[in-house]
Amino acid sequence: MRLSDLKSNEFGVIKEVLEHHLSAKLIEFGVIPGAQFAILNKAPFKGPIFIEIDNNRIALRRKEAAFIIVE
Amino acid sequence: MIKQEPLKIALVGNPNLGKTTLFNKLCGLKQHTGNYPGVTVDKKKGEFIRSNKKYVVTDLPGINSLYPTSKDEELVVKYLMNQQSNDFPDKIVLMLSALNLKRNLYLYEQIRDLNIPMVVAVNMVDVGAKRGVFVDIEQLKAKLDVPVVQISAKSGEGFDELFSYLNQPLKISERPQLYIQQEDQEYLKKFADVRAEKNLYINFLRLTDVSLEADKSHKDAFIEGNNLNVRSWKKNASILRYKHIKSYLNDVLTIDKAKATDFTSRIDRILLHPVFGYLIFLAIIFLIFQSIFWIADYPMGWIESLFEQIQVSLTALLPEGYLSRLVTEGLVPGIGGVVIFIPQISILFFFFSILEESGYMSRIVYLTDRLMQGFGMSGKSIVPLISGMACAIPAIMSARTIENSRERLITILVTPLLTCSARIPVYVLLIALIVPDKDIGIFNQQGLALMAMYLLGVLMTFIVAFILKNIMKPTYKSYLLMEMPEYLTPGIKNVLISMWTNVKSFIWNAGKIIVATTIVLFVLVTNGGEDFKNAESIVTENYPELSEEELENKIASYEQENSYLGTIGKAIEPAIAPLGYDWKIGIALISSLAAREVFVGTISVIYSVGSEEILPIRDRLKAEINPKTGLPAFSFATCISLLLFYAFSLQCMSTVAVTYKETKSLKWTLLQFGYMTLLAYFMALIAFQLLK
Repeated sequence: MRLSDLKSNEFGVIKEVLEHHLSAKLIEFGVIPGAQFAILNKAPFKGPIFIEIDNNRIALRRKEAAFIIVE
Repeated sequence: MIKQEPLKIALVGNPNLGKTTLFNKLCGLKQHTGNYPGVTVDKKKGEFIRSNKKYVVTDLPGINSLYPTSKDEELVVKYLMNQQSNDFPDKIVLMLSALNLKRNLYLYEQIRDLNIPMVVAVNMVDVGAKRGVFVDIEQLKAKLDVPVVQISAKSGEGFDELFSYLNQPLKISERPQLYIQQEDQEYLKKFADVRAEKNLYINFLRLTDVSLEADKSHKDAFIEGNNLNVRSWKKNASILRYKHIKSYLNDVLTIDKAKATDFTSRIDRILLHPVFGYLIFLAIIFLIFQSIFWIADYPMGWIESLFEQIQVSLTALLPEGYLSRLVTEGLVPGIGGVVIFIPQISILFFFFSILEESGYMSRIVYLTDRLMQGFGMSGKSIVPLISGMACAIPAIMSARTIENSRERLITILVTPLLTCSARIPVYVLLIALIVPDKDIGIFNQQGLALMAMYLLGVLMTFIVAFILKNIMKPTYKSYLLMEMPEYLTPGIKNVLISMWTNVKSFIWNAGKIIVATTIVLFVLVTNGGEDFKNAESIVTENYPELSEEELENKIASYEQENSYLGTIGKAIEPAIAPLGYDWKIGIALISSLAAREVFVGTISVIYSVGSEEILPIRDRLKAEINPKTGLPAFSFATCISLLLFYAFSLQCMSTVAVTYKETKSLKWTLLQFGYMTLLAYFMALIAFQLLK
């Protein structure tokens, strides 16, 4: 399952970050395999996603969230 | 007494952890603020004396890591890598926030490997404890191999300990390379061996990052020659660092999960609500601009009467003569025309710094990202755009935080269309001429008119951005990835200091230009050719039937028309007559090419010279008749035309300069100036021709 498929208030664990232009940056922001996360908010009209990951709050676009495999 | 060299320190850290609060607390008002008001993404400098010792402190913009993804981060990373520079600090204070310790420690781990003498200052430990995040400072001291102090940037707690460390020789030595796998380490050492720079981590950054290495050919040859995958080096480095942090973080940090997420999450549930979130955002912006009018009204009245008073007393006090007239008819009304806007500008900056400090600005980025993408920009463009409502110059600079070059360029090109504070004086004056000072329900009509001007600016910004989006080719992939800070109560002292420094630089910059143009204008309007010199005899000859008072007025206006300034104004009149302007307005347009707010000062000077009565400028303009048409010079159509002209034209040389500096492209700078001037001219033309 991809992070972008989840709904607001759902949570899970990061499984893998697929290789793309942003993968190094995502790791820096703490999106690391094994990290626990929860979706706090999804902006309307397919806007960005607001997640809490390892007690850290970050926002990213759905396009990028599609590269993050979760379970 | 031997004068000691001041100690140079730099404040480093992630965004949103109270670095600016610390900077303000240390330097107070002794800041060398940038030349322009507003949010700044450049380093700020300040100085202070503490226990008889002088310090020079540099506040660097917040960064997330030493892998820069935007221009502002790149500047900080280069600053930290360039250790031979004169500007390089003796010591750095690396700030961490208890609220976001893990991510902040990640940056610490990177900077630690640069081997710069440093003290780690942990801020907001008390706020953290209230929110269920407990940091054990003693444990942290034991885990890190540099001095660690707990401080409160707000109250000044812990500063003594911080300074006792800063005044010690802080030895820092190379530690094992935790960030690189064993097999890659050999290559890194080989790369570093042949270079002047010996620090391994700096070499690592140069090798793995495109923007940090000057000698690209050597780097690329090395990577290719050894068949290295530096991208995976980078990724591995992050994973290794987080692993290392994890190994000690559990002893340092305890989190009461239920409590920790509570406060910010609860507010976010309202502020980021798909419906209410946007309504609240609009309400906040609306409230800010209404209060600019409501609250500022009273002090503006006081300032107005104060300057009238000054003008009256000076006229009585000073001996009659040319220089006295320069003061009473030139400088005083010119300066008064700017000072009167201090209340409005202060209120604007007051609200901006609250938006910044509270953490709400990031929410605005989040809420608007999708919308902005439709216009070729990113959510991050909202920061330059909103701060463009204060001043376009820092706004254009703050576009550095936008990673994507096309989004950044579009943002830069459209930002000056937003209503900056320099336009407020012009708008307020013109609106006062055509809109009655009455209320509709609870709203002030003039306030609503100003609001309409703001909306017009916003609308045009988006129209132009949309056009640019469809013209310009997409460059790199665009993305948004950002930290959402915890909500914090803005410190009132901090807000006031930032308001003060911003207003000060606005007044100082506007003031310089205004005093200079006022003097030039006054000289030009009080000197002239033959017709000017013989004004008295020519008028007396032509109008023998006039009474003495009428004659005096006639002479004064004849003199003005034939002064050097009048001659210039008349020369450009054919070009601006279709817009509804007479030559006097033409002079104001030319003199405000350097800066818009000069318009008010110029108008004040032009209409004061030779006038006996001392009237508020508004009343004087209302009474003014255009001699060619016999109609009021500031008719409804002319005022609307002027409002549109000032809304769209780029009459600000500083903006032109900063666009050139930021884009490093003459083409885009000229394009920006050109499209705005044409837009202003034709919008004003159409409006006047339809309304007259």
